Amino acid sequence: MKFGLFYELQLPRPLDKDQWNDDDELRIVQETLEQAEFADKLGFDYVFLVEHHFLEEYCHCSAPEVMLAAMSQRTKSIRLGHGIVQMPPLQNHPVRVAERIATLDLVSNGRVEFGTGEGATPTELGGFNTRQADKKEAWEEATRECLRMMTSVPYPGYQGVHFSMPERNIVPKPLQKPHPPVWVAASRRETVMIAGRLGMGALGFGFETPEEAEERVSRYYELVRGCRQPIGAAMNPALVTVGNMMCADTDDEAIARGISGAQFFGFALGWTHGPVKHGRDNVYREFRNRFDTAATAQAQEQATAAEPEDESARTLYRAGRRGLFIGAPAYIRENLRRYEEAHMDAVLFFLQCGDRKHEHIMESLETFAKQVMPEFKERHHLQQRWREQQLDGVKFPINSSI
Amino acid sequence: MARPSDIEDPVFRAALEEAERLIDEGDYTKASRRCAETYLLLLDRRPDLIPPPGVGFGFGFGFGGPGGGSGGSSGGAAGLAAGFGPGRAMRRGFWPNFGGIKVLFDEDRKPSLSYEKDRFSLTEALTYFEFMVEQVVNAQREPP
Repeated sequence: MKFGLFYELQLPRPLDKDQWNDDDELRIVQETLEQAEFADKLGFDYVFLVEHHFLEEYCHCSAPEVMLAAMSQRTKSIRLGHGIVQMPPLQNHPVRVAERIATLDLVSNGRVEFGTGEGATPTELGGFNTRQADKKEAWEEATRECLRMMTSVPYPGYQGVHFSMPERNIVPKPLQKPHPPVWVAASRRETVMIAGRLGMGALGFGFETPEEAEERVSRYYELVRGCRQPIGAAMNPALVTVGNMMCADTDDEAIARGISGAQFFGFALGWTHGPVKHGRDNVYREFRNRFDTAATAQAQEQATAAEPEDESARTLYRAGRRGLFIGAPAYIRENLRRYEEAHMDAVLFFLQCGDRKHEHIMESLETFAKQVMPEFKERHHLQQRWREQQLDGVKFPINSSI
Repeated sequence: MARPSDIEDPVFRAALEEAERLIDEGDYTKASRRCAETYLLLLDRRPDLIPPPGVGFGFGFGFGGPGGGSGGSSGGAAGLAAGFGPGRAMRRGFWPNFGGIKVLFDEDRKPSLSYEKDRFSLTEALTYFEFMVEQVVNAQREPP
């Protein structure tokens, strides 16, 4: 099993002020770069960055290509992932995406993972005038054409529904051939299956349990084997899940350091889907007010006695809980073994979230890397062998870092 | 994980085999519509699968966001030790809400379809198809 970090660049507003301090965004950016550099030295395999826009406090990572480029110059081996690029052309023109991915691949010596997705929330989509009803179709069209741009000389042009352009040669081309491994954000089970049908890796953002992961794996690989037309020139058969992580010497210490960040993560994610007041909400203050009130905590506990049945709602529910990776090394190890048995290829961790402290994140990285990670890396060749068996008979090229 | 061949009911099986055939032929719009009609048929036969009143689709569900009152799905202080649920295999799912086809409910919770656009893509059709196969198979596994 491989491991990576996943970043939103969360930045809660101060409790006692309506706006951030002047150096708050500088601090979170610099701390993130430092964490990525340290993770690279410790042997983590991936760092993935989201792309979101206008989602104050929840995500200040609106230009991940810049962050990843900076990371590429401070790291040696860790792979640099977009998790994801928002592909609808009103958010990012496919030509600009192809150019940026290729350039990042060149400056990083071929370490790019190309995650794709649609964007979400009325705040985000509405900011670019992308209609909710169009976003999936726009993702498909833009992703397919963007990958063609990376391999075609010249790109013959395109007359589509969501964008059109004349013949041009898009340069530069990526270092990885035919293009970097390509992924799709898969918050729902259906999207994991679509990933299989299109030969894409699935970035599982649904906080799947090991049992759910296991259910999906066999069907996913069945669909990969049956894939007739990959979305790109190479397939990336791979299944990844995410989880909120804080590793410390004891469970109590990990919870004390990590639970508030996880709860804010879930709370703020829910907040982004509501009618926000742009530039005027203080999400963190609202979070603290609600969570610090005993009566509210009790009401919340009653309200969350059972997991929601709806998959999207369940994602929110799980995003804000302790989950399976906030604990001592033994707790995390035990849960990771369940994912390993389910044949997940990699797990990506949210570490930087809410009001967590940079020094705790750094300690967590080190504790995990020294006390948990080695045994999984040693066994990864078994997963690779199993995966090769699953891919036996696949007739398309494969470019995958798994 | 559900597959079309797992569907026992001949009506549902035929409907979703047709949807799959339409996808293979590139008629994603017809396939999407066929899946939506099949969902209504499922809800007609299995009203226990209709979402309860007040339960929305997607991320807005019960969460303490700006419009969420004092609710919150992320657990309070007392929920610190909680991990995840059991991750059971069979769950009731709600129609994928990305806007192309909406499932509306009247005051009596009778569902109807609202088509928000005329053309659907491969991935939209596949999303609806995968959702429906899973729902029908789950429904036959979990009687009302």
